[in-house]
Amino acid sequence: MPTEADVRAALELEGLRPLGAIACGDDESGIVFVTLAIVRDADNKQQPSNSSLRSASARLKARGLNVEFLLRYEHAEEIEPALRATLLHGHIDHIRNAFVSLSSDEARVWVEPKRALSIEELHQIKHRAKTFLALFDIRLTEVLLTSEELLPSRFAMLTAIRQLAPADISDLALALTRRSLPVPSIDWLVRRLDSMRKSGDIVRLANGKYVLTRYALYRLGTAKNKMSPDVARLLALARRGS
Amino acid sequence: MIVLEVVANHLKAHALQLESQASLEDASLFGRSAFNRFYYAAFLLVKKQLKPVFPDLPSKHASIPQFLRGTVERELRRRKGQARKVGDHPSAQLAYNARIAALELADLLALGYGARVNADYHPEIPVSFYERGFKLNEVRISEAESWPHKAGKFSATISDAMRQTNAY
Repeated sequence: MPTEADVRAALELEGLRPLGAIACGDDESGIVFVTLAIVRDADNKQQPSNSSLRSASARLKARGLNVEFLLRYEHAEEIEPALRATLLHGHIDHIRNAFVSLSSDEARVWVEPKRALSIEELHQIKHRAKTFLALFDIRLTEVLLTSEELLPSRFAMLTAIRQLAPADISDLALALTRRSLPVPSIDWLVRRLDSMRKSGDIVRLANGKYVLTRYALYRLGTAKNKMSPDVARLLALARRGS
Repeated sequence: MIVLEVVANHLKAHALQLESQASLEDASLFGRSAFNRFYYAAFLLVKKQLKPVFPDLPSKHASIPQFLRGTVERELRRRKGQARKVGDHPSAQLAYNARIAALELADLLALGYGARVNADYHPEIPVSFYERGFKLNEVRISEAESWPHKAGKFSATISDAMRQTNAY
């Protein structure tokens, strides 16, 4: 494990001045945590830049120093609570919380929705966040939603059918629930399957069971490793004694 | 809120109370412990949610950020492509969000781990108090307070995306 003096000397060679102390990990990974202040220069460019930090990190690694840079941005402490208050004030019925990931001149906003948001609602949230961040000369890169209660996706249903085919609807509901993707009702599942049948992904057999079309199988693809869906299918067949 | 977060909030409040009574040395000790507990609250939430979907999640704290930026980010990028291939755009979007969440969770855990190491092993770094708060090596307690919630949301997003796009 390098000493703090070794790390400081190496950082000085790179022209980097750490903020406060340098934290060396308490395990054998040898990772050293270095805090750096990130500011904007007269041309509004980030200093030190991300690319210069990546290069410095690679050079330090070549010298046997595994450094993790912890970047501290100016204004970060004030922006997040103020933006949260602004968004919650305008969208109290739509969102539960919001937080920001900042770089020196860009920000990504994470929003926790109370329910599924319409495109119009999302657009309003984006507009409000963008206007607020512009006050600090910060550009909004994107607004992302944290996930809430999940219903099984098309992909999850297709992969479950692939494994169970020919899949009985109640077996399918059980398989999805086992994947921690609860099915609201059999009727909901029937309607979703019907839409997938109409789009050519699955076929409903005369006995009421479902199988994938060749088109869906082709698009799902396969893998030649221990996580191969073909192996999973074979094991599923063996388990049910087919 | 998990128990550790409750403990961390008590430690924070007690540190501030001691500071207001001019017991700076004790206030500093409680303040350090608050950083430690907020980090562990976040770490345990991440472990609870990610271990079932990533059984290879490293047990060493310092290695987790690199695992998130490497293995987890690559896997989510691959799954996003797979979901897109079958026309499942909501799952592709979820995998994209989860990929960004993995990168941000890596930054959060690295920062938290750094603060935790400073709090536990570097008593020479002082805790500085300011109005209604304190900081350790430029990390404010108000920021540490947000770690468990953010870590929980980021890891839930990753876990949900992994479940939705599990092809096995």
